[in-house]
Amino acid sequence: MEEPHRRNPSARTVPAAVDAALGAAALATSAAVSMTRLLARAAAPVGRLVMHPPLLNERLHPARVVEALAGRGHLARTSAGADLNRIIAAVVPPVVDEVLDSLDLTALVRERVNIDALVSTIDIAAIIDRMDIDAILRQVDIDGIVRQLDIDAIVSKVDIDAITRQVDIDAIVSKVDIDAIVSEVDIDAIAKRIDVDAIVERIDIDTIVNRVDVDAIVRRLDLVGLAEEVVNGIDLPEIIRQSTGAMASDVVRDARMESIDADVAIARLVDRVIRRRRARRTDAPGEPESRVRVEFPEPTDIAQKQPSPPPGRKPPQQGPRS
Amino acid sequence: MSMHIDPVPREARPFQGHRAGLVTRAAAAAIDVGIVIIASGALYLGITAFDFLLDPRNFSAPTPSPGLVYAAGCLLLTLYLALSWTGNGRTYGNHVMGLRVVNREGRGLHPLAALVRAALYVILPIGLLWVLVSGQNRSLQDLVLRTSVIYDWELGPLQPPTDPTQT
Repeated sequence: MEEPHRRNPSARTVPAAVDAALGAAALATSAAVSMTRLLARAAAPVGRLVMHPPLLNERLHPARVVEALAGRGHLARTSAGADLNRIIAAVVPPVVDEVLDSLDLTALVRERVNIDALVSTIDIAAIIDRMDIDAILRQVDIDGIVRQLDIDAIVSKVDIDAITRQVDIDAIVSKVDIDAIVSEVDIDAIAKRIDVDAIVERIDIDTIVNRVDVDAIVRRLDLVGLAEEVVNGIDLPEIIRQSTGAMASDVVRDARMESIDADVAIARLVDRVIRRRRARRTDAPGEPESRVRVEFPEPTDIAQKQPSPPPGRKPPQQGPRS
Repeated sequence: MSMHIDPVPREARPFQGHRAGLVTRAAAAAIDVGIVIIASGALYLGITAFDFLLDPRNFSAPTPSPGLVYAAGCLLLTLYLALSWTGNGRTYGNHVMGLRVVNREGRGLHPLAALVRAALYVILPIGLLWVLVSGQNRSLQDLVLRTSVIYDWELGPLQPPTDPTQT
């Protein structure tokens, strides 16, 4: 790519004729220099002979004169150079300042320097490698920076809702291994640290009880069924019989039970006589549902079909089957 | 909401609803026969007193023939049994012995069935002995009419049977 700011400005201001003349002069000069070198190389033996005649004392050689002259000339040249340096040191800085003041270096650099190309040549990584980041950080006063920060102002500018909307809570939760977390929790240790007594002391039992709808609980209870089960379990008829001392009831009950035992005994005897193999099926339809039943196993012989006796009574010889 | 308290003693509960044996049924029958005999005597005394009131001068105690007495006793027994079984399903003898007569569905007997059953018992009382050899504790009358005599110590009317399909 062509770079205009690097183009030689003389190419735009100097005519081609001048360049041609300069070219010709340079060519002539080069030819003259070559010729002179050729002649000097050819005349070198003559010069040495002239500067160091073999017959004269060395102190009288012309070369000594030339050397003396050269020393003096060198001395004069060096002193002149020192004077020139002093002049330059006095004159050049103000001149340069004036020149720089008159120039817009920023614009000049922006116009003539390819900053992108210049930066591309810089090895940033190498620079970073050479930097002692730790030393830099040690010099940074982090606490001072933090103290200067207005955290509240920063937080007030943060749109928490927007951040929350972008967070996929479900995805995060699905990645959490709850089982692993729970397995690491020592529930026993936590429970041991709980002061149950202190908790209980802080609980107002009366307030809790006042909030309990006892009537609703009672309504949900099957009090009738419960009472029925309790009454049947404690053999209420026996209690009533004992408390009232009804002799007639005792006689009737005993007569009934004796007759039942006689029924069982006679049936058992007859079954043995006639060698009945199957048990009698005495269950009849229509028994009241509240009756207590004894489950009998399916008998294969008469001797295997006795019911479980009620508590406190001798087992019948042959009982009804259900 | 009602609560049912079983009045039956605990030792008798396993037998409730099962067909009764011969001894209990015979005892109940004996009580019933005794009641009918007593009732017959009372009836005789009543008739005699009625005759006395009608004609005291020519009064003489009635002397019915044995056949008439037997026929009257059988009729009275039949009516007594039929009426008792139609009501609560139990005669007084059944009541004393804790028995109840039910049909094949466990309900009370139809009046006609009760009458037929009573007549069969009066005509052939020996049919009760079939209870001994029956595998189901049934008499001949029970087999004919498909009835049962069960232990039921509960007082009051017969409870309706439980529908097995609802349990």
